[in-house]
Amino acid sequence: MSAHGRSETLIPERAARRATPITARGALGLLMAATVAVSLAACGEKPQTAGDSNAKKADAKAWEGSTAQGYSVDGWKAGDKDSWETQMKARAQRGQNEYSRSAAAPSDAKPQ
Amino acid sequence: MARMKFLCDAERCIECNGCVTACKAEHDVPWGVNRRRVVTLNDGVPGEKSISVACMHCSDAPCMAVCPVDCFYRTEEGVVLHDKDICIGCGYCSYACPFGAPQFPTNGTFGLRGKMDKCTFCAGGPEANGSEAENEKYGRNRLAEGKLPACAEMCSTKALLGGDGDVVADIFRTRVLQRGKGSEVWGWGTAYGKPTGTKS
Repeated sequence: MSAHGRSETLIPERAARRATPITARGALGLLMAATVAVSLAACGEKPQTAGDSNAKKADAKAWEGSTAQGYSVDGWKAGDKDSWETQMKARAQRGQNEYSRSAAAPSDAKPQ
Repeated sequence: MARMKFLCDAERCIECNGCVTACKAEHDVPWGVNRRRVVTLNDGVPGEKSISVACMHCSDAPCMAVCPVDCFYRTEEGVVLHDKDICIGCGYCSYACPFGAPQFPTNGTFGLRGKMDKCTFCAGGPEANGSEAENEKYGRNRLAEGKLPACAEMCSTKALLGGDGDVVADIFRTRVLQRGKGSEVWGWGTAYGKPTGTKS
């Protein structure tokens, strides 16, 4: 029943005529929405929030050793911090302090 | 262990650039980037002095303070490193550093500035120690191999010392005492100058 109390029974031709413009309008609307969506797609923005991908990575300790095979020198054990520190100090003295290797080493040298 | 430090003995440096070459070769540093340089004062004048300069791995690093994306970190040995995946190549660290250590590759037609590159004390970066990814981005990780930085180990006159700060200081102190020069090359007066108004 309509608001005026009349029956809404329509003859088929009339119903078809009324249905056609509504469908066309809907299609036009859909088309416009699609056009707007496509044309504005480039206006999108990548998320720039600092997330996991920007998080600082945890660095392995030097004394844990290297994964590169065949390059590590002997005299210390990978994973042993104390042996690595001893190796670093010994290597610095051995390689850079010629006085510790020569007879002229000033045994009585004291800091001023 | 103390902090890892470099110390260059100006009395010994002969400006051979061996340290620069060693660094470039060891880490495949790209063209135009010098992680280490030799600076000569009074070049050509008798008595000229040269020192080898790179990142000094500052205890209170200004690069670290100004980085807008916080890509720097310090290892437990006091080596200042950075994560190239986070670096945006803005150059703030370059302005902040008093030693000119941060370098930027300028490849490309328009001199495109890439991500920052600097001396790593041969300690690589945040990637797995000795991995291909680490080698590609930061160069060799010699510390994880039980070695010291290539520049210091290759120095022919041992002017450039590198390693544990206490050991390096001991070596230099012994050297200074042995060669009979003291106050003018070692101590407060050399580091900070003489007080104004005094005559020596």
